[in-house]
Amino acid sequence: MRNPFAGRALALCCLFPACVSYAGELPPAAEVARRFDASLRQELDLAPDDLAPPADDAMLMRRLWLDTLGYPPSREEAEAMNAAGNLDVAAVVPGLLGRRDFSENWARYWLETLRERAPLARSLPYDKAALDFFKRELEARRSWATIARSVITADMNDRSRFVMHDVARPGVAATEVSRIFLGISIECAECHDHPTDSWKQEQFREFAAYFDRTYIDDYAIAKRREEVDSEQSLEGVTPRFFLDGSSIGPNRSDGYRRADISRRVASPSNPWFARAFVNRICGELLGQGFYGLPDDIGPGRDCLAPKSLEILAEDFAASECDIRRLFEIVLLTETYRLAGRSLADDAARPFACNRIQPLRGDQFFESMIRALGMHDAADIEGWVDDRMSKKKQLPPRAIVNNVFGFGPSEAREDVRRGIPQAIALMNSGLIEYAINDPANAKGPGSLIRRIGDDRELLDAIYLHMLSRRATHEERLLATEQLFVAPTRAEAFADVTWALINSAEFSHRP
Amino acid sequence: MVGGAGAASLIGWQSDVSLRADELRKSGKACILLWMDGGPSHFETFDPKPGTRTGGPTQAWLTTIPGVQYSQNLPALAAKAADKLCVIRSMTSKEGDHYRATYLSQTGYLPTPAIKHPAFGAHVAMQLGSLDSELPSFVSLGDLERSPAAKSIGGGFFGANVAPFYVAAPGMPPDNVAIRTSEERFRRRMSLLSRVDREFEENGAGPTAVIHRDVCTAAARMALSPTMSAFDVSQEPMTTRAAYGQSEFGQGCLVARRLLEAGVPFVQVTLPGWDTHNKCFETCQKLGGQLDHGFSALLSDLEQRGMLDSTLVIWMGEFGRTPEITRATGRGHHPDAYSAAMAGCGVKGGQIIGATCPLGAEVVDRPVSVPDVLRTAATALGLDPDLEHETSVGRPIVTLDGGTVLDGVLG
Repeated sequence: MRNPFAGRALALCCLFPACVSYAGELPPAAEVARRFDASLRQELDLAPDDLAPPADDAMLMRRLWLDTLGYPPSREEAEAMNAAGNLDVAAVVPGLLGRRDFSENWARYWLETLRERAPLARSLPYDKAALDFFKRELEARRSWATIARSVITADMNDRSRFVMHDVARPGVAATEVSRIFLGISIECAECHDHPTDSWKQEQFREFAAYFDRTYIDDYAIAKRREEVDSEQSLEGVTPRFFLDGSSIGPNRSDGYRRADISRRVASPSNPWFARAFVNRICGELLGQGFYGLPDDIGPGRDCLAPKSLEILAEDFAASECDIRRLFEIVLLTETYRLAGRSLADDAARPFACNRIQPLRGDQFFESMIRALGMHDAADIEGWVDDRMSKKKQLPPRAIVNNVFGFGPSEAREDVRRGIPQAIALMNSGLIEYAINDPANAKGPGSLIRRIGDDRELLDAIYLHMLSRRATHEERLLATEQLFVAPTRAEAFADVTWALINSAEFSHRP
Repeated sequence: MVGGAGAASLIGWQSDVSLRADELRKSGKACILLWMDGGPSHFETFDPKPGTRTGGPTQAWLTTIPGVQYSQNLPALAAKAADKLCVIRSMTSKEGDHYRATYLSQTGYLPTPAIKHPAFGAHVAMQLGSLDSELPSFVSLGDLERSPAAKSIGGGFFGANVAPFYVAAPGMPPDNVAIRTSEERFRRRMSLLSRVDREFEENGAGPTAVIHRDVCTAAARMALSPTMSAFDVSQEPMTTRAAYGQSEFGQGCLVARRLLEAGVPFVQVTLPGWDTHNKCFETCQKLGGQLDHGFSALLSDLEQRGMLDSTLVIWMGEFGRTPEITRATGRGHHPDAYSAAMAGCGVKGGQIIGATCPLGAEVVDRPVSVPDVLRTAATALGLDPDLEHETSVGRPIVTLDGGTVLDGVLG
């Protein structure tokens, strides 16, 4: 697979540091985490009584695994933690961040973020190359600044159009770069001066001019671009960066233009670049960001706790945008380890708890195939809709993403799964098969066949599905099933079915 | 789509919309969109140009309206439905890309990175859908797997609750709706499911768990509901099924009528395959046959059942096809001039709006935009096209931005 970003005209990434290098001695992550917690409490006037209690170990373990690896702990891992008696987060986190699946999980996250506004039809063929790129970069521990610059300077004729999916319009490319890497939504200024920010239409045009000469070797797109150019020509407009006013001459080549703006956007010294990343990652890990949406921050937006955000943003910049260090800091905070509360729970104050969130499409897919014991199986088609899969037009992951996925930048409180999602799970033939199949050693059907003791079996099912043991009430509920179902196997299969369909299964605690 | 008080909180409609919706629902109005995915050739459907260098081999067919001809591919529509149809031959836009043109046609807006606009069907579902219905308010029938563009447009910023419920193969009950166990066991499982989240609920997930339970309950109601038989055309007399044609599209038109009778306010029936870069005439003849059967039978059936006065039927695709015919006997994308059609719900039939030049390349009379058509449709259905909605970041978006109600179309 070719590197989608190894463009012949824009091999500019070598100008930037390839790996994270520290200019000076950074404080230990745990120390920054403590400062962040203290700052949050002070800034938001959070008394100890305002805070949710710490999450129990089982909940915390499930959260940690989902946040880092994209799937919950295995039954064996959950059992081992139970046997050990406690979860040592500081000891566990470096190991999780070092796993290959951390790179895979977050590569998928960024791919989704980059294509969430893109038409599915255009982005699909480029997924593999793009995913490989992100996985490789994250695995190699490249800094976020390096990755961002590679994306912005990508050769448009290579498999990278997912980034600027509609490059026939320079305005869209400008909007996407600003949205994704600066967290600033400037698209309103494309047609008129921004109604709620200070951005002017002229500033938008100047920023868009950085992307005006991007060469596309695609007849359809090039033709449309000609039409657009005739209406909204940026020829002669001086490329200028709206955040710092810096500019380049109007006659520069595409390569020069995008290399220049990539340096200005994706720079540790650009505070909005660091803030955008920190805010987005906090939104994912703490369940709440400092602003309303990860792609609508900026100077004109209210920040919930600016000093606390700055502690993380400054450290991120000082570490040359080291992704894993930021994760480690946030995962070590007390705030991260607080019990989860519903996003719809208005009584819970910001940052006084962690926030329960629906699993992203990829997390849901990974959780499901593990719960069904099918993560090693080649054929998991037929899960959502038999006929769709048989056509082999979309891989199972894409089908699941179509049904259960949502854009990473969407407000999570607005993400609501409805009847189509519920019914796809309830009446899934694949789930029915897996919970009744005794032959698959990794599946729940096998547990029901192998474990003769009811109490032990119930714990095994709960650990397998929800990473925790059953409570006393849940034991009573299962016992009730043993009385009403015609057979033991049917009773436990029904319990398993209910757990897969539960809210707890489909949410990150 | 979802019943009960929990559903109301789940959907989170603005109160003014809800109040207005109560009144609108009483009107019993509904809409069927016949979506011609891929861009149907206007030459081979409603704007034939026989005898010209761009017309190809397609001949014209006289309709019951003096001076009005459709293509030879639509004989039943010409003979039986021309008096009900208002054909617009002067559709025009600048969007020649499938995704952008589909987005525009289905939402009335051009795509923008920042906002996912709801489809027109989602607006109808939101304003005409009933909270008490066991069926979804927006159903999409037909295979959209080859058209991810059309499939990616749905509830937009309204969310999943007014997003289309897809049924890939119309005529049979949807796959996932059929329960996999006995009804007794399914009910037992549902009883268990309603209690299994207690621990999660008490540990902070309160409202999340309650919403989830409400959705699952509504889904189970739907799965077990007798109204689901609306999806199953086997209950129709063979003569009726035959009248609609045996194609998936024809059966989809029949299901659409059944769904409307069951209270669904918006149904889209898709006929894919109109992207005729190759073998345009052969393909249009085949697709035209399916369209002609299904569309004409639908209009006739709706009229006989007294439903046409309250049902708006819209026929359209994302653009037309080029006047030039390629060596592969195909036609390219042509947004400059193309056709659409409307019938029912107060639309004055038996007329042609606008005209293209003799070669079918340009609009020469009354250019009509997509927002014009959707605004006219919204008005026919009693919706307020200027109703303001808020995105999740508080940005105000009106149902339709621009466009004017087409003069003379509504009675």
